[in-house]
Amino acid sequence: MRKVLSKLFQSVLIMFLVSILCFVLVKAAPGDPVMTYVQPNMSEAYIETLRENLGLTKPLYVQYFIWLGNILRGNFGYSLVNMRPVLSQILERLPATVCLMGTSLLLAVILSIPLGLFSGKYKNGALDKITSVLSYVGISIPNFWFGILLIYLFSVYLGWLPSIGMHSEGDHSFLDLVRHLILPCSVMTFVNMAQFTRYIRSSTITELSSDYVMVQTAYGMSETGILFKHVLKNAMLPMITVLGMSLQSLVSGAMICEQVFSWPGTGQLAVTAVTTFDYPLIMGITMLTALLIVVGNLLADILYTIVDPRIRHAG
Amino acid sequence: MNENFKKNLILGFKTNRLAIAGLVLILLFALAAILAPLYPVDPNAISATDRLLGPCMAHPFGTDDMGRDYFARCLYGGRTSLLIGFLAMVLSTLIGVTVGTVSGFIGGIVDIVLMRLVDALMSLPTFLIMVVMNAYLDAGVRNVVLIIGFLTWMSIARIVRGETLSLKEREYVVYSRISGQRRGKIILRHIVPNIMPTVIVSATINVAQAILMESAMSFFGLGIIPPTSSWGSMLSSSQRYLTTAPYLAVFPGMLILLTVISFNYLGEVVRKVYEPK
Repeated sequence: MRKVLSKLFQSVLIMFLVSILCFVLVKAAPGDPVMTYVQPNMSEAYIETLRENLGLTKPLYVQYFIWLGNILRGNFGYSLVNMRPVLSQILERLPATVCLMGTSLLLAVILSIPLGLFSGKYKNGALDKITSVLSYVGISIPNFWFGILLIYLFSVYLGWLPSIGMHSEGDHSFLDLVRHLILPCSVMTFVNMAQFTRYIRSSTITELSSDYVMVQTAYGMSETGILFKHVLKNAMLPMITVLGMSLQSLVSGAMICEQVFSWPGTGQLAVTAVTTFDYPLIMGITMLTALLIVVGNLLADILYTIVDPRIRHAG
Repeated sequence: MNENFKKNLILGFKTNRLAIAGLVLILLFALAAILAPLYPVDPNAISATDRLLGPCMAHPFGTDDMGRDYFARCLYGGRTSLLIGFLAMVLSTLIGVTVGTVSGFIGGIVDIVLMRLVDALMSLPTFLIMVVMNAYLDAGVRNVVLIIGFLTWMSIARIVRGETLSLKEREYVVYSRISGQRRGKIILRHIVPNIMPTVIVSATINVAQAILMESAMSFFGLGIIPPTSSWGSMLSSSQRYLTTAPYLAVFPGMLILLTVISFNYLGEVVRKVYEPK
């Protein structure tokens, strides 16, 4: 329990640091934020009042705490481009991102478990070698380029699958969504699988050389039985941490992927926000994404303690 | 770095043909990048009659939408990509090793603050931060190096800190502390040489990461912008001709993939030599 509390405290501290970094990053941006509100016929005095009303004349640290206070109350401000609330804009894009990231993450985990287990079990066998090459490709391939290749092959050349967006015009059926999901999802699944498979493979190898496996073998348990009943459980443990750690690259990967496939998610919103210099929106997305990553890591830590009795009982 | 490690490293390479292939490939690309001006074709020579020619004898990689020789462009693009990868690695390794050793060696409040900073930076959505920073810095090689270096030192710092913590307890470090040597000197003389193998592994993988990040940034029309080109920015402009000239997307992408995969594999080989399992 004490461990959990200290982790929780650390996470709050990290989020605090993230908020400072985020604020500094945006404040360091060139350009006068008041200029987005200024119209040509405004007088100098009016602009000064506007600046004061926006709180821009206050010292920086005061501005920071006002901003932080607002965020803690769930007020992320308004977009500079279309004046709509930042939070609702992000929330309406969220389902698309969750759909893409969730599906690919789930697929990656489901596929990498048997692959990792068997390539660890039959180390240096044919399957292991193929998996190894593929996972090197997976961690080294620029995901946007992989996306382009898939678009060329399946959309341009073969014409089987749509290459952009989430739905066809006027078609909101589930099947249509799946057809749109296949390409971006394949890219992300492949890239994530590469990481996961490597981890599961190496922990399988470690687990297979441990005493309990020898005991089980001596008692005459079948090899597949040992692999799926005992090794799997133990090899899955580090996966919790790996999942937590991979969140950061996962989010970045999703942003790039959404951009390539014009997937209408938060990642695409983020890139649009940057290109239009929409600072409240950039800050909102950065803060929420960082929150997701920090909470994800915290959950991974807590889950790890709960699942692994060795750590749980060690206190 | 001790003699043993060097010997094992040479042995590791001798027994692993793929590792040699990776090394040769990287050296080849580096050499091609350095010697690019020797290639007699001008990468910026526009020719209206030679637009979008497929690979042929005169143009091994074909020509792009302005009739420029794509092989020459790939050579010069590689120059930018590899240079950025290398410089960003140097920067992030320098920051990472400094923060890691200081944090681990001094400990206490310095350690806590630095490590939480690392945590915070590792919780930011890297790609977004990269794009934001790039949007208000001038595009160009120097700024791309700074941005990537600034966003990739954290994992090195973490690993180095861990190693420093265990080295700190070794007798020779304890002796040098008791004998009153200055802390900076101990770090440079006793800690840094002993963490070199780990640093080499991280640095190798870091080059791969930096090249990937640069290519992603340039692909979105940020980072490296014309007239300079990198493999990433070439991919960016190739997108419009996907239907008519798919080879424009294939060549730079293949080059990125081959470079990155070689660096990743070499890092893994060095790691295996260092910590055989």
